[in-house]
Amino acid sequence: MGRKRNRSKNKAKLLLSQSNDSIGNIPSTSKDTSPNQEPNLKPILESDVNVTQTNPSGSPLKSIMKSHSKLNVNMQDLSKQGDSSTSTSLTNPNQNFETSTANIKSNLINNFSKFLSQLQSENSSKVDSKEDLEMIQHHEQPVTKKFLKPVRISHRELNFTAPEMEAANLINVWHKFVLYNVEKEDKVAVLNALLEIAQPYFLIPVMYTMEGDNKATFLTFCRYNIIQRYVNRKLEVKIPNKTKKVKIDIILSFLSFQDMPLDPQTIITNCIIARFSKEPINKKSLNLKNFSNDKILGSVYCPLEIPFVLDYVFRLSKILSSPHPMAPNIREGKVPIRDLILSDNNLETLVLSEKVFGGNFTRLDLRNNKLGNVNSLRSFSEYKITELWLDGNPLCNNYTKIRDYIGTVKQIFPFLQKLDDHVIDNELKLMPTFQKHFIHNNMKISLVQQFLEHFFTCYDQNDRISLNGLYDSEAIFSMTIGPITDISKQLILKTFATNRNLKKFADYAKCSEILLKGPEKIIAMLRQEPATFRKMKHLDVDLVYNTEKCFAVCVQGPFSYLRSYVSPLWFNRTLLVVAKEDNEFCIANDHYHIDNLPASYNDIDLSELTFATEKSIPTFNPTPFSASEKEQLLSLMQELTSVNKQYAEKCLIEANWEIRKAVDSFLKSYVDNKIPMEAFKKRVWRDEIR
Amino acid sequence: MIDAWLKIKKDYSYTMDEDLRAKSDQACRTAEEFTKLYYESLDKRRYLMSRLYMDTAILVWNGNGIEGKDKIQHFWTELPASDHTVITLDAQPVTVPAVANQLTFLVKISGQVRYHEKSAKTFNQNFLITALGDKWKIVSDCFRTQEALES
Repeated sequence: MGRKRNRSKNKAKLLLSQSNDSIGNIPSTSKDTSPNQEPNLKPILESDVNVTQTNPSGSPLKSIMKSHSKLNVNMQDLSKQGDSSTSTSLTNPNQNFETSTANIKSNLINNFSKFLSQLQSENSSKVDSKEDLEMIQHHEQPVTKKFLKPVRISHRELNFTAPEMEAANLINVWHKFVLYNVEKEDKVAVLNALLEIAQPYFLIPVMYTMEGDNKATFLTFCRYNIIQRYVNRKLEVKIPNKTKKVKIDIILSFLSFQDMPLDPQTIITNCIIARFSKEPINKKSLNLKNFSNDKILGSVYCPLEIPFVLDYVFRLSKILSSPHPMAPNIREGKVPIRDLILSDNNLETLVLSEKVFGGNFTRLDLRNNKLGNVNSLRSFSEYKITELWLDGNPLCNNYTKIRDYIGTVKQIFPFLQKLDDHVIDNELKLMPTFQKHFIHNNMKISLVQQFLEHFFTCYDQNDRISLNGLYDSEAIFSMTIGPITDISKQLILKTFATNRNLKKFADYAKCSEILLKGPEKIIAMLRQEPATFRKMKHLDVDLVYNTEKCFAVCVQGPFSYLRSYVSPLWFNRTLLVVAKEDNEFCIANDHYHIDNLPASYNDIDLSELTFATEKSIPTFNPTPFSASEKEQLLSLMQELTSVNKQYAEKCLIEANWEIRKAVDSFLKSYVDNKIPMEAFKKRVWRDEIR
Repeated sequence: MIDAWLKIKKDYSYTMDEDLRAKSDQACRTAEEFTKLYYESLDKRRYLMSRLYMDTAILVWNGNGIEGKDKIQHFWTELPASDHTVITLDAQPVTVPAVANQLTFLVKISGQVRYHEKSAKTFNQNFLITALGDKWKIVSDCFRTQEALES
């Protein structure tokens, strides 16, 4: 086919010679004809008469044809490959038809190559479909001079012998199918049934029309081999899920192509081109959503739910999208898309006969189809699909647990990251390990530890008046209570707590009323809480905010109410602490939450909490010294004893910050040789919270 | 003279309370809107989480500290899918100038969280959020379950 053609430009010609082979691969005709030979055919004069004779009910064909006049394109034989061999084995009644076909085909190819070059040269994302159609129309129409003899084969009196076979095997003629016992709603079911029977050959029905209550007709190109399949079924076809059978009459060589020059393949090609073009080029998306109802298709029936129709559309897409039309290996080319949208196509299964798409193909939209099983998508396993949409398919109902659904889908799409717009969790994702504390600033460890020990020692005293001085004058306090159902615990909490759960308040005015401000109000309220007890070793501490002047800690852990006989509870407390003059620290915000003890805490020995008595409470000895005064005492102690700061502090704490007592006990220990070597080393040995 | 002084003091304390009331109202409103957005993003649109954090924000998740919004985004992306239910919510304005020259709130949440369809666990979460331009951003985010989670 790569002969010189004066009409076509060089580039288009080369392109055509490449692409034509591939086109020929899909629906091929004989190639041994001269494209320059002028058609020498008689115009049909009596075919209309024949139509009315064979179709007494009166065909609305003409009006339908008018609607297709814009799509006046050249014909190409639509039977699938393998078909042509059948045709050569049978005698062809008119060689002229062959030549006209070749001529028409070359015209078509010219147009087709123009499309392709237009598609590739223009960066603009839109191809005006009107323009396309004008281009199709713009070549000369070959004049038909053939006298057609339609032959009817009927389900009533089935006769399929030489004359019928000859008529069935004519190329460039439309066969008319007349379907009896069909209703309006049967269209898709009956056509799909016919298409299924035709497999592996290709049948594209056009102009399906109801011609009465129980009668429908359509036209199609097809050969002897397909007709034979229907004849083998006695021209009857069963509609799935229905008891009735549809009876068929076929009027062979009903109409010549020249009388109705409608080329389904070009129309489908145009439709695919338009679908590519609708998306911006850089998006690389092929949107085949609700394809069979595309306006461009007109009356051409192209249901993607039929696997070999879908396959056909994919192979056309491959040719149309080829970025290198000059490349010799176009057959090995892939559709370079990233997104494939196949939503709303009634797909029941989805099989790819070959690797059609390139490596960028990562997003697949299959919403609103009839896919019943994820396994029917197995042929997509070879692609690295990361985003998939399966909403609106029956297969979604197979799963009651989201995890099973995701798990099954991930077996077929192992690279999946998003399913139905949800980021899906990777099975390999592990929970980060649980850390008891987070205090990222080493400098703050001892400060936080000291502060918390001091705070909770004061807090767990019989009378929380000892908290005096710990709250800033502007301090704010509020508390919430979790879903505690134990009645005795509820009773205890009722004695002091106001649950400021914003989820339960319609009016924020009340919320501000129970927000306590100032140490007097806060301590007065806290003094009402029954005596508590906790162990520092049970607590988890996070330093969540830290600047020079302040820090915030979140503390949580179990605690118990003394003398209450109820099992331990759980608290979570956020304290925002600010540095004051003289290195003192005060609480600016106190956020308190009480909740149930988690079930897993049964394993941990909380007997210390459960059986705590007043003796368990660490004694609280208020010291009259401020932080800076303590610093002075520490320096003095270090000067006197030459121990390091840590040991000096230890001595002073043991002596309750009485320097005389501390020095006395140091001397005593020194005489008894009880001072450890570490005490004189200048190192930090307390930079751990425990 | 003394009466006048007392009156001034009374007015002063009154305006202070009004100020606190206004801040409390705003804290409550912000906290409700913020937590709704936060948990919706965390459960459904996790890839958007970093938008909620300041550049220098810190996340402490069961004792694991993650600093910087990009690292936080990565941490959330790697975490198994979650489903949070908020049970209690409370918010306080931070009024001490040492912390906040700008509007800053403490938000405290308790609720239930599910990972991988496993049984629900109680969690506590504390936020320090601040107004950055017209948006609220997380300064610090501290999440803890009451017990260690299985993978």
